[in-house]
Amino acid sequence: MTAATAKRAPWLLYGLLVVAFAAGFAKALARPPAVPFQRPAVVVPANEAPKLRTRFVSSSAGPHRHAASLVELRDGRIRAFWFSGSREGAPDVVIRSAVFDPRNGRWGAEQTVADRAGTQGAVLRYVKKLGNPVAERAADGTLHLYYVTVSLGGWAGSSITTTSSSDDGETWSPARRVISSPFLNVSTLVKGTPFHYADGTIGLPVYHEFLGKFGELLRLDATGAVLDKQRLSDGRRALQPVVLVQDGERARVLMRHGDGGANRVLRSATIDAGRHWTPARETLLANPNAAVTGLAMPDGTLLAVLNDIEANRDVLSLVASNDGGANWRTIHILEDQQASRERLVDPAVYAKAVKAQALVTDASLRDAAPFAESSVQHMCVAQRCSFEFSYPYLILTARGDAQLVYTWNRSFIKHVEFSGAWLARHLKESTKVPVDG
Amino acid sequence: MANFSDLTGLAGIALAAAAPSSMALARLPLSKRASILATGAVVVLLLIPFGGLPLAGYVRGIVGDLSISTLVVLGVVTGRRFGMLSPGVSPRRVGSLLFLVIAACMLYPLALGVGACDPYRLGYGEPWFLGLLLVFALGGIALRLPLVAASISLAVLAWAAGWYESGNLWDYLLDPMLAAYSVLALAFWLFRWFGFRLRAR
Repeated sequence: MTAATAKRAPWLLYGLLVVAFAAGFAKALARPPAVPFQRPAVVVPANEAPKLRTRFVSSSAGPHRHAASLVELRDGRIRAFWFSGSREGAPDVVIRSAVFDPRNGRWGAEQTVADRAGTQGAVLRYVKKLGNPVAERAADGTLHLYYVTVSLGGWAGSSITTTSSSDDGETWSPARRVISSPFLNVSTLVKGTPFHYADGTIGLPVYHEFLGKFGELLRLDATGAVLDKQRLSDGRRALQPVVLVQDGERARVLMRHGDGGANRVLRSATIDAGRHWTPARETLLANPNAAVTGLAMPDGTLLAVLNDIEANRDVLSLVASNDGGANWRTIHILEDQQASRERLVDPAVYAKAVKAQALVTDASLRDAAPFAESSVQHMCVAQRCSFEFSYPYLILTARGDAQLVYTWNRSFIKHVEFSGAWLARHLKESTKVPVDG
Repeated sequence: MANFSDLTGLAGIALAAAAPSSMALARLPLSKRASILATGAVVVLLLIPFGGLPLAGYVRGIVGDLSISTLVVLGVVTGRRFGMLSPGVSPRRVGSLLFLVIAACMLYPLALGVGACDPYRLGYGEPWFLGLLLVFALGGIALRLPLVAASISLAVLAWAAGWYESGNLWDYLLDPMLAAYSVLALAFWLFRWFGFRLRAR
């Protein structure tokens, strides 16, 4: 450093400080203000027959499939995403996608949306494995996909990567990393359904599971940049929040109980569009440390799908609440294999049961053998087999139908379609079984 | 084509390698010019793709983008090594270290879930947080800690310009590597200081 430079240094520093803070305050003051939630418009067709239809999103044997999510496309079709590979956390796991056409009731061909190498090349960072994907459709029709990527350690070391599509998912932009944590950007994962704010910004429920386990909410702009981040809970017990937006100001959050203890779904709530959230507390809805999904119907009824038992994931139910989540009642039992727990010691017996269930799910299946083969591969360990129906993901379409997908024996993604008329009838007919206080 | 913020992130990792490289090369019988060239070669090597990803990309996958403060500190170390900065410009001033340790102790445990408060949220453009940083920067000038003032100002400027992928100001101010270095360096200084005091008795 020359003497002249040294003499000028303080003035250079003052100049830098003035320019930096002028730019900084300008950016801070341009930040979007807090705005109300936005509920999607729903127009239910008149005189529709009540329908509940079940099918599988895919039917080929072999891969481990898990963590499916859905998004409605511009033309009313439904696109699903899930991860698929030799096992959960394997380097060969990819994000797969397929489109369901409600007009003909069929799923189209699967395609790979993201893989490890492609993601790594796009984000210019080492990527070890991929995980949960969720998607949302912006007001301009652009699809945004968010998926978990891990560079360091296990799932607790996750971060989120995003990509977008302007052609309903046929092609995708290069992936971008979402920076959401100060410590090596570790431990932000997605599972819950994204939603929108009134200004078009995106609410993305996420969770943290390194040291602490708690729900968080990211507010993102259309480019995937994080505008804000807030806690939905604290401590070491809440995972995988799902936000049930009731109106512009009110929303309920349901969270998976991610620790030992009471094994109950956790809940939080806001009455000021998310400026403040109530402390998370346990509901009486049972939860075996498993994902929960849910949504708010236009009339305010809350729907949730969950494994409403304290251990295992072999029961899956649709439940509803008419009082903002204070009391819940079972609307429909989607799966229940509790009775078979003790009998499933023989993989041959298990395979027979799986085949029967597959045919009940979709009577048009020509060959149920792949379902048995894959389920035995992924769910039988040392001559002991089990059923797993997990990671449900529920959306409400613009026609008022509820579309549900979930993991079926870690081998397939099962799709359940509830028409608006079916929901209306069953919500009316269901016996009130209060289970929460 | 790579995004601007990916390039800045990779460049930050590669440039950060210049400091340890210059220190290692100082042990070799090389001229100043040769040392500078060799250090530059290390930086370039880190940016050459191997298996579809530059070496700096593998490091970036683990540590993320380095904060502006880290780059300032490493820049000072490298500049001093090559005689571009006077020895008086040192990142190891106790005041600077103390400032960094306090910031790290405030940020990381809380952001990782100790308690219900998350100071990381302030980094998304909370005006009073910026005001607080302005006070610290002015304090750095008043206390003759120009590196503190320069690091804060450069971090704020880089954040305002969207230099990195992160939209959070904390990521420009501090990173875990700088925090770890500061804790160790301060502990080492305290150890020596107490040792000196005991010997003085």
